Amino acid sequence: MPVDRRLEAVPASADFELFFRDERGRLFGSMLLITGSSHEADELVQEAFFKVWERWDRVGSMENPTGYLYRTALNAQRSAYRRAVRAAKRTLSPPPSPDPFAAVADRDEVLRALGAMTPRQRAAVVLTELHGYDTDEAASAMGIRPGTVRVLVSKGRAALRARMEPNDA
Amino acid sequence: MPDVKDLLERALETATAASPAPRDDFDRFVRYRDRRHRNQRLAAGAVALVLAVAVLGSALAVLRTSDARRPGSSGSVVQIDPGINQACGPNDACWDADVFTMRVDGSAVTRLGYGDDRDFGYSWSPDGQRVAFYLGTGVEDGERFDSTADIYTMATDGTDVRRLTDDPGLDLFPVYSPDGSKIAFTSDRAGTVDVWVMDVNGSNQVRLTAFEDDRLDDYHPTWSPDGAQLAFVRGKVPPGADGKLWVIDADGSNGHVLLDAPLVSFPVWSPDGTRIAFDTGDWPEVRVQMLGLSSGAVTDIVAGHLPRWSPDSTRLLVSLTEGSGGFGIVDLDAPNRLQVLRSTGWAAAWSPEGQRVRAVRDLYIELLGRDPLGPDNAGLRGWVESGLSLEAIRAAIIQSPEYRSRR
Repeated sequence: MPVDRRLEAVPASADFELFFRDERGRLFGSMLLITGSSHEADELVQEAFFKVWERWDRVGSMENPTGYLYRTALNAQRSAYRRAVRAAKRTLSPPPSPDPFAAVADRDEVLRALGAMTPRQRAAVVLTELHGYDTDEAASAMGIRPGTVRVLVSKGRAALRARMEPNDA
Repeated sequence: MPDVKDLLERALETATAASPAPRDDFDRFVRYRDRRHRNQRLAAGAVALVLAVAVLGSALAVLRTSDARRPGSSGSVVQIDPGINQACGPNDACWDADVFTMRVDGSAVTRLGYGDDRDFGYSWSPDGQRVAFYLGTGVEDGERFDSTADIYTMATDGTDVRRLTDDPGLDLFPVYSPDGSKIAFTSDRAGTVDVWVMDVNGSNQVRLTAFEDDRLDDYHPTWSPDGAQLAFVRGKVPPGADGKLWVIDADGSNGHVLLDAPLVSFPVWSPDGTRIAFDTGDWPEVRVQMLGLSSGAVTDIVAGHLPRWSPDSTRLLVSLTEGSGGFGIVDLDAPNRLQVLRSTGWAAAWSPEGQRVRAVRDLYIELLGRDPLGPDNAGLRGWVESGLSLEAIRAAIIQSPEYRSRR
């Protein structure tokens, strides 16, 4: 896609690029686990970094810019409008290329177990168990109450356990 | 059971190995960022242009007849989804689509203002007075999100919005019948995706494609110009895998396959009733083709998608798939010769009217304050396409008192 050369004057902070390179892979993987779609994960990652870039003067000086990044990605993920449009486009738009993640997710028992959870359970489990967020931090990132996070994590862990234990026995 | 964190780390490793990050991931992001940034500026520019047009419109109000104020009253006004889609194809992350009207030269941009969450899939009423569209919303139900969308209509100035459907499913892709009395649409409310028909006030909603042992989806309806039949795509959504072109009588009887070829989507029946244009192929290699209904012959037209017939059935307005998108016109006497009208945007459509006199009058009125004779004025080419000579248009403009008074 052609790039508007007039926009090359837009500053691309070296700090931001470092932040992007440090965080992109893990954010993408996390969104992949939460959404189950590499296409959707890629969209969320791009959009989250765009939002961060727009506010980099402020976000770059935050104590935890990574937390802001994940909160932004999860905000985009649960955007009612975005989800509705995405669902609508599934029946209207030309199909995207095959998702390489889908075939792997079918074969991998942990990914299958994650797939059996609700998206919010997956988000809560990924944030708390994988990224080590405490309940308040996860609640802030997900835009829900801390008590809801605890319920979601509990149910998510139970779902994961129910799926994994028969194979481990 | 292993530690949950270990399980998740393993899953993360497996998942990212299956979908590795592209090596130029930061360059990709820069392109995405520039596109988003540019479109934000374009959106702001569009608002400014709308304001400018509104000021100009007020100044010229005395020159206009009342029906000339309607966006749909001026012949080949096209419909476009700029917003973020100014520089995106439908498979990109372009969620901020909005619908504007404009003339074929890009002037008189008017936003059909109603919220920010409309999508493409608009249909003009045959009289040009109203537009049908769908509006999607997210519904949080306990721990999961569902999506729903319903059909609405509004006047072409964005007022008088009326909701026609209200159910938990996805009601999409409304299409006015040729006589303006009914609207066909796609809905999944019955468990599979089907073509439904209702009266324009939302009453008498009927599932048209209720086949026995129905495991396939039916979508993308298009009316025959006499309103007696609808063509649609029958396959499994998302389209592209095995969708075939079907036709059914408007009472739901006599459904049968019309073109036994896969990968069909977005069929559109020609106003003269003799052909159906459609998309075919996998994105982004999608092409527009055309089925002759008497001969059964399929003609390849051009690389592109979302074909829209001109009112006289001689040209197709086609959205482009390459570069930044955009759309152009193909004269069916010379397929594969694409006249690009605009290199951004997509999902353009003709307005239902195309009367020459009205077109000329509106053209010069709309172009006052600009230079209608400028070398980049695609609008003039567009009107030539509609049957008027460039010289005739120029003469009409130059001789008009309104134009002279502003020189």
